[in-house]
Amino acid sequence: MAIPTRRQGLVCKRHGLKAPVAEKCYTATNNNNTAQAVGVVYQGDFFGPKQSDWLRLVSLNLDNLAIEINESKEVTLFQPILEHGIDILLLQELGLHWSNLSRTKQWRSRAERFLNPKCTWTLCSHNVHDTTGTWVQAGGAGILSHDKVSHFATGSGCDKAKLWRWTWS
Amino acid sequence: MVLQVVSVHRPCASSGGERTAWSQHKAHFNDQNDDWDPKKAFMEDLAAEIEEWIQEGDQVIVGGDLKQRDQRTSHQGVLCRPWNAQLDLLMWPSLQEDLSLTGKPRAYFKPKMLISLNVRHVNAASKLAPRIPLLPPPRIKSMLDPSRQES
Repeated sequence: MAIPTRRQGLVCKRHGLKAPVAEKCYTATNNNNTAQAVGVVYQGDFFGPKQSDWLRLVSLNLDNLAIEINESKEVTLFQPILEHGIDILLLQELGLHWSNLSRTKQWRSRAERFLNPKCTWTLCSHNVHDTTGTWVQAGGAGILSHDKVSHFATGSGCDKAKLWRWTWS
Repeated sequence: MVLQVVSVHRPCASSGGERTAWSQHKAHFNDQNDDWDPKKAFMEDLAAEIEEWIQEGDQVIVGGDLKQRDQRTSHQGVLCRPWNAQLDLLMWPSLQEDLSLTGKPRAYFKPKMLISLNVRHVNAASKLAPRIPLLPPPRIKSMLDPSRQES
């Protein structure tokens, strides 16, 4: 009789639907998927129903937010937070120099148009050493927590060099 | 006990552009009379800060985008430092190399836009790492399209 082994980690603990994978794209370090697959490829599982004791954390490279508000990317950024019950959203490459934008175009204003400010904690910024005065700025990192977990956020900040290479909360 | 959640973005190697993240960081380090490569500086500073948090007894989850050697790809990943254990690398094998971390990578990294995690029992931070299943759809579009999710 085989002795059951205790398994831990991501691969063995799947929840929700398993994503379709391209079988030709297995590699030594990635047994699920790679970028070489033809057409749409996925890695891991889709968002399934969220259980009550889960904290759902998402990391997303935005590939630059539009200067104008209510652009499609902005809508598709905030809607899934409500739709999929995302608790913590880690953002990269917002691509805007927030200091040079008007009040209505600030990150917090954008978030508040979609999310209840009473249960949203967010911080996004840019390289503060850049004084070129442009609206766009490559890079940037941010963090947003929503719903119950936002009430546990007690502080936030960035890297010590103030380049906003990372944001913590 | 504090759970530190960190969103990181490492610039890709210099492409020659003046307004890239790499150029911005390089300009800043030059102003400081520092000849650091921004990518190396990123890893060293990040490692130092993570260590600082760990020394203080904090739990750390780091997620974000590490631009890799190939500038065209952006590697998303998350790592989690569980209670009383080595820094447990869930993704980012390359980050493990760069940070000289021990432990076997858990086989997930991908040049895609979106990674998601469901962390169970957040109140019991000591149980974070063994209970993290990975649920990463690649694009926001796919999240919004129910037909794709069902396929």
